[in-house]
Amino acid sequence: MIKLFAISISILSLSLLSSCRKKGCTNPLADNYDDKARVDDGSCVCKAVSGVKPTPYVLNIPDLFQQYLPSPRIPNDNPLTNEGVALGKKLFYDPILSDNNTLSCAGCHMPAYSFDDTSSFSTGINGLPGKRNAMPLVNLAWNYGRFNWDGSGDSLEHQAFEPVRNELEMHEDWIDAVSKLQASVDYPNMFKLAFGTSTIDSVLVVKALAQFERTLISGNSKFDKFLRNEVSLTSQELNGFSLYMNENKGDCFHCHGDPVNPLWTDNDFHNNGLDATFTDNGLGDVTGNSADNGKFRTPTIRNLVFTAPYMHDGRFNTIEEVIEHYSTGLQNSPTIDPLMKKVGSGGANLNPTEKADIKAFLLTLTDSSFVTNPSFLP
Amino acid sequence: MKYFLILITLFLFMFSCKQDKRGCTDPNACNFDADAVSNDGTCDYCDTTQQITFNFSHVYNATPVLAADFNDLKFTNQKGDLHSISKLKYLVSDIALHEANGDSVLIEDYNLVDLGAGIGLTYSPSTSFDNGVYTAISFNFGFDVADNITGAYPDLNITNWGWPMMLGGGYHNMQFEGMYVDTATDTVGFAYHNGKAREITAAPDTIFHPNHFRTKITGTNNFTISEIVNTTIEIKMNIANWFKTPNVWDLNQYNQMLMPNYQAQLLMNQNGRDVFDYIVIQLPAED
Repeated sequence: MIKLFAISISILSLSLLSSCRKKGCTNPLADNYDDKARVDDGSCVCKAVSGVKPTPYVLNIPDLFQQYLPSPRIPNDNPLTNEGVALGKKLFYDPILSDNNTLSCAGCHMPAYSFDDTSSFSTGINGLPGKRNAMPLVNLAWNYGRFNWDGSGDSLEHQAFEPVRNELEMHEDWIDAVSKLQASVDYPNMFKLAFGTSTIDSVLVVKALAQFERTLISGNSKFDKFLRNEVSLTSQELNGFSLYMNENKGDCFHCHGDPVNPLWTDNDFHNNGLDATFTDNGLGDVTGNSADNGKFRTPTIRNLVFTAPYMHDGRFNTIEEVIEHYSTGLQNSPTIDPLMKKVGSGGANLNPTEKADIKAFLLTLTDSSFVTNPSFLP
Repeated sequence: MKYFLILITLFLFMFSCKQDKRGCTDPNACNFDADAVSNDGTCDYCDTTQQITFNFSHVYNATPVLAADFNDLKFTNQKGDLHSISKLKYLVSDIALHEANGDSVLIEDYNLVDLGAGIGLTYSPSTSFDNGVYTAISFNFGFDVADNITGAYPDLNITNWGWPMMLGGGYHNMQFEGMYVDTATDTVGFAYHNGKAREITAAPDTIFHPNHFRTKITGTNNFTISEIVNTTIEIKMNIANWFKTPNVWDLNQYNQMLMPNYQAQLLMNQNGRDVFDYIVIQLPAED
């Protein structure tokens, strides 16, 4: 009898104990993970087809960026993964995305030129020049605004759609591009590893390209080392920096940034007094607002030595010509930025020493390790 | 023996679920029970504090100014110069609400307003305000000395809001830009940027004056914060006053390169004192 009591009490206790613990899926990686569940009831479901999740990619963020900048802008629906970045890199260097398989993204965005090229207007697959200078691809993970010279891209993903189908660039139909990728030996499996599906579509292609582009971080120039107290600057470079920061002189920093903005651009749009009348409305044609005519996105001044020619139309071949423009070449127009000063006398009116000093400072923003970084190369 | 079994069963029922104590489990409620495991629906939100929203609005004398009004030569300043606005971006910090009994509640935070870009026009700090009667608001235009630390705020750094080290460092208080018609009837730019004022005295001395200001505005009527109303405080800038009082601004004299201009920085500081006003908007709270 006592034995019977003991058994029944044990059973009772066990059933009571387990009834107090909520049942459900206790695996945090599952789609139906229940954080209140204490006892796994075997209901966990993982939708990912591959069963193996891609590995998160750890961005190599320089210390100064960590200290001074917000987190990079990574869309929730396109987190960086090792597999996605590797796929993006392969796509970036592969001419398969062009109609005749002759031109890749890297054809106009070459690593040796800070992911820019050397022509005013890059030549597309049909032998025709584009309408604007190619932009360097540097530190774009921190562009919280719009992309391209004219702001026509909302995001890196969105931006990447255009060059593939533009008739002056790669001139490929996206449907054909995807068919070629799908029929290739490597790509279906790489997409499966990166995105969990071997069925390729253009959205996944631009996601992978954007992932690779976000890894293109440059933060190791002489000036970065100076800020980290690793090297000193020459008196000419220091004087050039002073002129750059001086509103009475160069006043470059309002658009191109200062030591606490290591991007060296505001990623915003300005009319910097290139022309009195416009042949290219830039931002104005995107917004439809005539007050935006003649405005173009500020490019970073990092790695200027690699990115000639300069301006949206590549009109200046040298850094000297650019400095001369701000010194004596300003043209007034209704939308000129009020920061372009002394327009009536052509600009800042710098003397030859000042111009040489500003150039010397600008060259301290050269990051040679960026253009040779093996992880950015095919 | 039968009673013994019943007793044991009851005993088990009472203690086996000890960790499932019922009560109010919401830490925001005033009867929050830290020991409670499951919520029994008894949470009482006493509503002794409220959150409020600040809106930033802009007028030019009596005329409202919106981003759509930018870039047109449609404003005439006190001196009579015709001008446009192409940028109006400024920082306010440490807003405080002052109670009738002399106490005040401080929001240690900042808000960057960019009228053209539509950023910061609505500001909802996490601070809660005690129910009560309030008589005034105050805030810093720019950062005060303790907060004006070079490079300390990533969201400001990335918009190039820094003030050059050669002028004392820290951050801008304001960037107010546009075009004006000068005495030669040319339309040219002005950049009314406000921040630390650098005074160059007999070499080698240079003094960096903080040049922010704290403005305290007492409304015409007291207002009461309570759980029966949603309170919005609209902070209103009269842009025209930057050119008006006490110094009538001459754009032909002060237009560009004003950051290193000590005299111009002091005049801006004086003119800024009366640019702000506020109105309180209260709507019945929905339960």
